[in-house]
Amino acid sequence: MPRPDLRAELGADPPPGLVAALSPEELGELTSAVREAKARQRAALDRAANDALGHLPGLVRKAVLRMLR
Amino acid sequence: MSAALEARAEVAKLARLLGSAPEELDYLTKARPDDVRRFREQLTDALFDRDKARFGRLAAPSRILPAQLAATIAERALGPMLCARLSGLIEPDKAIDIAKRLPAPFLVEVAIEMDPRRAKDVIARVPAELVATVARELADRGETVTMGRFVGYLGDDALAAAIAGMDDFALLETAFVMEGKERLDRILKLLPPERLRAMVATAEQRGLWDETLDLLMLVSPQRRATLVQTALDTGVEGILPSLFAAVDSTGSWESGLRMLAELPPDSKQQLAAYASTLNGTERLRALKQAEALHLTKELGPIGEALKR
Repeated sequence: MPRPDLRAELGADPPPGLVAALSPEELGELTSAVREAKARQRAALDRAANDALGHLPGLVRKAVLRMLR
Repeated sequence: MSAALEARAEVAKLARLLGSAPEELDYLTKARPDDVRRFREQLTDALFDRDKARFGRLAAPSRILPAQLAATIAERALGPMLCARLSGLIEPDKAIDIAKRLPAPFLVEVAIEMDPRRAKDVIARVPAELVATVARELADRGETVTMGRFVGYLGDDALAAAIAGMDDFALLETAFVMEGKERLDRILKLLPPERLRAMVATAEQRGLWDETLDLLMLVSPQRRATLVQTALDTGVEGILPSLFAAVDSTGSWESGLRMLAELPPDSKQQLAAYASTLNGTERLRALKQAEALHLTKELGPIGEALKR
């Protein structure tokens, strides 16, 4: 059985062969690495979106914000 | 291909996606490479699909905006990360029209952030000269994993241009991690003899023998013979001990020795002359492996030289 938290982070069942090859500690490490990568990417995307909005005039900014929601 | 080499390449690619150093993921080399690849694809989906609807709405206005205005907005307001997300959501011809108006350093940043699978129709249309410029810049930055992800989606002209844009070190490293390695034979066919010689010389100077072994194992016997002969003609004296060391460290004795056994007689004869550069232990180890695999006879002069 894959660790539920790895499945949740991935949004899918990880390959059973991969799960079987790793110890619980290694699976935990991999799950943390995935979680950190997702958080890092989310932060970078939010930063990029905010930077982009900062370049737009007020009215356009509101319209784009609606698109992004 | 050697499972150990395949695992190393897969771990390098996953590490790039996770933003980790490959050595931090060493424990994954014990998993099957196919499982690591499948996991990387799942992770890519998790990272790129999450905001697809949101970015789809942002991509919609690009249909009506003139390309020059869209390019200005892309560079000045959106930035490379958002553009990378939008690249697969814009109509391909429009995306190319916009890309042609963007500076190369910006396109390089976009390429680094892109998932090529989601923009393959766009990548296939990128003009060869633009591909060469971006490939050169990616090579300068050591972004060989990024290049390896794109190679499989380039047409022959663009691929030739990309290769021309890379130095030999980047070419060998990219070949090692590239997606769609079945194209390697075709890629080598595109290389003129002087480029092959330079590549072999670089492999020796930079100690890229694992990568070279991987390449040799994946190409056709004919191409392999050409590469080995090129190394011999170039006077790469360390070829035999270096290949044996790579075969030993990656546990690929059977495929490595079989590969040598399949070489044309002349190449085997020339390689045998380099057996004297092996020390006693190396020679004995190679001989034992050849005997255990019943390949001594097929190795011909190399097998004879190992016995001396």
